[in-house]
Amino acid sequence: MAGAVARKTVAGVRIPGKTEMKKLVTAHSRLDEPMTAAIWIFQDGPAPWLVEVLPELPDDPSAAQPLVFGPSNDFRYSLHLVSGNERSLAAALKKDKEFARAVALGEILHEKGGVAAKLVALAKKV
Amino acid sequence: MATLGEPKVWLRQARRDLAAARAGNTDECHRRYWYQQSYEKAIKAYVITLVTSRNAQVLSGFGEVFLRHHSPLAVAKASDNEGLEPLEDRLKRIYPKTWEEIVKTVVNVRRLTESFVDNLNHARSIRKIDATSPSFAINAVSYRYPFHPAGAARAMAPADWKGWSTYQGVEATVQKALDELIAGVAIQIASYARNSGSRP
Repeated sequence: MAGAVARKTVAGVRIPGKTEMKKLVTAHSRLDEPMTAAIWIFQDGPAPWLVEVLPELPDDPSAAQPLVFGPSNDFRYSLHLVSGNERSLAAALKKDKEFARAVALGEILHEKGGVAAKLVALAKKV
Repeated sequence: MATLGEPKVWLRQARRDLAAARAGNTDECHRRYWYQQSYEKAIKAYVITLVTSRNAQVLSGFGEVFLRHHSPLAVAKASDNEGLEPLEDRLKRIYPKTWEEIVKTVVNVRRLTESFVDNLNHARSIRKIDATSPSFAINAVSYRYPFHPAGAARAMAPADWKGWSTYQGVEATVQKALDELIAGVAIQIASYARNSGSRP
């Protein structure tokens, strides 16, 4: 059907495609809180995960732990949101190999000043 | 999975506050206060549907910060809270092991909520209402207490002040904005109920 959007599913549950993830990230990048990077990880998993670099967050030893948000009107999926300042996320990559592996395979959806590329490069080295 | 309680209860009160404002036969300052309260409770209903956590202490800290603040979108800059103890200091003191996660939760909830608001047709009006949160500052416009408008020497009763349209927005637009906000939150609550398996 012309104009139809391919629906991805995992175990019968619909998961977001890149267009939907980009739309979410674009909306977030326009908010007052500065965001210097957004990386989509576990892209084929049953729920979307997003890593967002927010420079104004305080240092956090548990930066890799996601906050889980229920579906909302503008993003109809449960969202696993990993957020932190660059230093905390870099430390998390060195500590958590599974997180590092996910970021290494992740897709950069937003980038400012090379922050996302630096984190992905670090993740690949770990 | 722990939750913060019943979003539908907050939304019911938001509807009743708006209805009270519309009932008429009252000074504009009272109506304007009910509009602000309707907004505040609708946003809090929305926020409750977003936040789930296995950590009860994080929810407790989040609830204390977010649900007790008049201006949901203005909160979460972990800084001075109307001259009271700075937010970050208070969280560190009460929740020494989880304060970073609480701050992170508050910041991200605010961002997701702003994103929801920004998708509304009357987003600008909603943001304007959020910026008019009740304040203790003597020169700040107050819905309920005498204040000194524009630093005037004499205090003025809110009932005598004529600047409400400039301050909060044209009344008809404010009503439409709140109707839209409440409808949007109602959809969100229904979605939350479906996904959590709870009854709406």
